[in-house]
Amino acid sequence: MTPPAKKGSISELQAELSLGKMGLAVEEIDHPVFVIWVDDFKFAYINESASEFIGLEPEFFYGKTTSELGAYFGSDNLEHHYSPLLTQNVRSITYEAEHLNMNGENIPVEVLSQIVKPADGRSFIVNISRDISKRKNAEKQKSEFMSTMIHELRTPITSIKGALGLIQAGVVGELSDKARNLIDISNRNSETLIRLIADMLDSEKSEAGMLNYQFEDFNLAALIEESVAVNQSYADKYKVNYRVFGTQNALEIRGDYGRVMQIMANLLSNAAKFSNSGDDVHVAILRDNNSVRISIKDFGLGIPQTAQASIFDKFTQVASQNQRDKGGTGLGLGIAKAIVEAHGWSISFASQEGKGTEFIVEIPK
Amino acid sequence: MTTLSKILHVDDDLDILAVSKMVLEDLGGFVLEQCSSGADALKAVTQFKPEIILLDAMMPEMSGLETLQELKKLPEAADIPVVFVTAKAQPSEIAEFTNAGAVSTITKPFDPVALPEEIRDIWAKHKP
Repeated sequence: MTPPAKKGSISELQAELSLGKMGLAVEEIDHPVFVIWVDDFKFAYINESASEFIGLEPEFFYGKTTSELGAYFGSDNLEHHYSPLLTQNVRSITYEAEHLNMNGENIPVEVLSQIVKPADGRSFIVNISRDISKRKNAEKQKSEFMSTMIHELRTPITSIKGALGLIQAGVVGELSDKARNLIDISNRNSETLIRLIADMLDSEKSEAGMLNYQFEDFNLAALIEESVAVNQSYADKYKVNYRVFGTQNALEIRGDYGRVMQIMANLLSNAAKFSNSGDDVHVAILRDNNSVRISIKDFGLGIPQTAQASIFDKFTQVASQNQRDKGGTGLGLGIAKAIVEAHGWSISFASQEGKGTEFIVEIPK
Repeated sequence: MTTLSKILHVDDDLDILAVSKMVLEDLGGFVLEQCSSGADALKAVTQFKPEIILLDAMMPEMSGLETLQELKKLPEAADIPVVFVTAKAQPSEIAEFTNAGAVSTITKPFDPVALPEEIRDIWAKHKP
């Protein structure tokens, strides 16, 4: 005769869910597994790995809510993580958290949470945690390495930029036309190097979620006009005309001025690069009841259909047909998107090959 | 003194010092003293009496931060505004410099033509 299932035990869960032998498999998994009832957020089950990891018997957990035991799971608001499962028809999510282990250490983990809704019976969420301390250590080392590398790159460039700037400014005497041309070329390219290094640093920081922002209120109309003026060199280089619309009236928004200028620099330079010589690029502020939109529209090459899905990915670069397309890392749009999203805004585009591309940054009111 | 005149620049990179000599003396018209280590800076500060100190953050033996901490212990140097010049300029680094008493941070690579004015502005805001 089968003994009555111990309350909260694997047998009870198996009995309730009719899992049979599958339940044994869960017990054997080497990663912490914990199951939470959706209707009251109480622990239904934790496996042996979870028990050993946290250093407490399963009985300690049964009948307690996730809020009561949040300290062990790095959050007293686990429900916050589960909201896509509960409200958006999402079946599983992955999130990073920390679990308190038996030595009192906070261990970084990645948790896979899957909602299960039996036809007859209570819904529950199965959570499987994976210790990611090694991965986090590797990420930290990579980040430190990048920081050192960037410092090492910027140091000699300081002397190069300094020396070229002094020569260009005439501090060491007048230059012949040919010498001036060579110095201009060197200076321009050292500026490109400086920008590439800054892009690398930003890309690295945005991946690590570490781009820094300083939010303030400012006039978007004035920023748009300033960004067009500051990026005029792209217009000159590619022989396009930036035409500005919708900036007659001031428009107060909240954001990081420098970072928004960075978005504009990226979009304006791309629009110029992918235009035909002599084209206009329209830069406009569009307003309606729900939002403000910044539109940058070119009438040039357009983005090929095959490239459109990955346009915001790191290192994606679309080859332009004419030979004018030089330089760039392919990092810019990815960084621009990260900045847009950090502001709670969105970025989208519409493009047709041979007709042009319009990028829209939408700022909800 | 209502206009800035005397600058002490500390950096272990001799090329950067050579460039800064032209930027600050020829372009900026300042009276300049240069040192390539924190130890030398501590000696120079009492004799030269600069009105502002530009301090490289990453130096061997004595870092910029350590140099600043020592400067703050010298009665004759404690009130001289110190500006860190650094290639990293991460927010955490800047916070560390500010907490140690630096008045501002300049990022490398700096714009040589704009540097004299930038230093004047910083000094005007933070002179004792």
